[in-house]
Amino acid sequence: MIEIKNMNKTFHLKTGDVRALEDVSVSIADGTIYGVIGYSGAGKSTLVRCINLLEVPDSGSLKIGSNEEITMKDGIAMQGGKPMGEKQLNSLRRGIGMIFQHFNLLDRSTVFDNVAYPLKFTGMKKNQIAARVRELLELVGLSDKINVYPSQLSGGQKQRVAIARALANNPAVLLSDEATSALDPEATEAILALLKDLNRKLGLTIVLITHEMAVIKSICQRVAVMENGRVVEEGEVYDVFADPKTSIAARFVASASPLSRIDKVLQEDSQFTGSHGKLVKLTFRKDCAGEPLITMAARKFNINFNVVLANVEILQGASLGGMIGLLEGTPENISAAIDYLTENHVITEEIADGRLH
Amino acid sequence: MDAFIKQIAPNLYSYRTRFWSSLSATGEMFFKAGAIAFVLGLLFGIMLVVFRKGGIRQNMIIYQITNFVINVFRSIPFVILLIFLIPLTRSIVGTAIGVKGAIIPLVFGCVPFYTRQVEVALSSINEGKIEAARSMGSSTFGIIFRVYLHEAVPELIRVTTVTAISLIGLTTMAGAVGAGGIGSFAINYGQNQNHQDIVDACVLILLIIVFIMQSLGNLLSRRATNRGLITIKH
Repeated sequence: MIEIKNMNKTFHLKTGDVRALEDVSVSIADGTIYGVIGYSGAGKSTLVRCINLLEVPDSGSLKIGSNEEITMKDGIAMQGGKPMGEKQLNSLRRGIGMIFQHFNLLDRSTVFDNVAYPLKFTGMKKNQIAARVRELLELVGLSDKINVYPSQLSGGQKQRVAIARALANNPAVLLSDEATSALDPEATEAILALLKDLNRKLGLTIVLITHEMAVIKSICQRVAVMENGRVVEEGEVYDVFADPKTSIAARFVASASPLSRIDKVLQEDSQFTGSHGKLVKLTFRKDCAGEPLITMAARKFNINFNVVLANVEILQGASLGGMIGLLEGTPENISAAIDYLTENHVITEEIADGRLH
Repeated sequence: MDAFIKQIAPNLYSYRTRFWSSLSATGEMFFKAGAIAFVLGLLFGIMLVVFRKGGIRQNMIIYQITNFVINVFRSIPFVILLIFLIPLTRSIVGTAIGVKGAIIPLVFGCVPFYTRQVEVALSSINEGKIEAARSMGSSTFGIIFRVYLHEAVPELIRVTTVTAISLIGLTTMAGAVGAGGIGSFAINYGQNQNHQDIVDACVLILLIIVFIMQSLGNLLSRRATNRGLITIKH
């Protein structure tokens, strides 16, 4: 369990103060893949760096697993009433792996030496280090590249090396700072699959920050949405996708949903706007799948349902249906049909002025 | 060969033993001052990078002092520095003349320049690599040796070459104020006695030395960079 409580962090820059974290509290259960999403400057990078104390928050507290709670006082990390020394900070960091957008490998070292980096000076013998490096490279599927230099590797392969390096000391937590943002779609998918696999195999807790909702959608269980240094929305990925509460969360959800194409459809084709029906977005959660609700509503209230866009997502193994359609009928019947659908747990949303949010 | 040199450079030929001893004096100044400057320059260069704002061990007081001292000594022209340092040199090594007396001013002349070069070389290392090392719980010394110095080797070789060449220049200047070496040989036995062949020979030998240094530096730097092309067995 990673517990972050009331964290604040302000950067004092020449151009003025930047509040990177504003009263952020988050708890992350062991073994979950936890996503943090936000636009650049939202404070997500700072948040993730406050977990391994590469940045020390101005105030707040941090508790990782069974370690003693760390409280921050005036930008100094205190553990057990005493300021943490370099040694304590380093031993905390050794228990938390981290990977980066630009991999940050040593260019003049081979893959072997890069992965061995965190193992040297830990008291391990040379042959033990060699064995561990081989094991790690096997884990990330790069055994054949052991003597190669980073410049000879593709982006995805470099990130695999970085993952092997981050896991060298058997950390319980892996922090991922936009680890797939510099990769092509194929490599992104492969790296995400690897992370999911490591999460399952090793019980690794992964805190992943990204600006891409597709990344959150594909591997995260929970998500925190950040804006201006605050966590504005937090919850199960399924719930946030099904029913985002804030406009920024809705924007992120729309960015990863084919249903957001409705904007384009409406721009190019005005047959839906100004017609006698009503354009609605329906979201079918896992608890209402299996019932022919639209057909039943259509029969019951004598309306027509003209499907414009439809999509089904599988999130964490549960289906989430989305549909945009034109309801045609008398205004009374249309609103009765909408009420009926809402009663049956369908999330209904009228598309005002033909736009989603 | 002897006869050939005697014919084209008669004055050089008659002073040939002095030429060789001057050359070896220059070599001695270069290697002694160079070795000390190499160590000190690296040390101060590392200090500037480590203690600077945002450095791995930010300490503005140490940084400002080091930075100030380096700037002061960089600003003083070397010929002035030579005479300015005479009392200090005398108190440390007992004499301010000859090769022995030249080492200290040479070190003072060379270190600030080299320190700046080392600082630039180390600053060229991507901040991300430093952050990655920190995230792995690497100690300050671990980061200095295994990230900064290790990754900057090609760049360090380049700046060391540039500094070595400028140090050759400084040794000849030191020669002009009584340190001996190829510089004073060119002035005392060449220019002052109107022996143009001696001046020409000094220019030629310096050109050869600089050319060899530059080529060696380039070669080593390239070797150190092109790690992708070499595979090492574990």
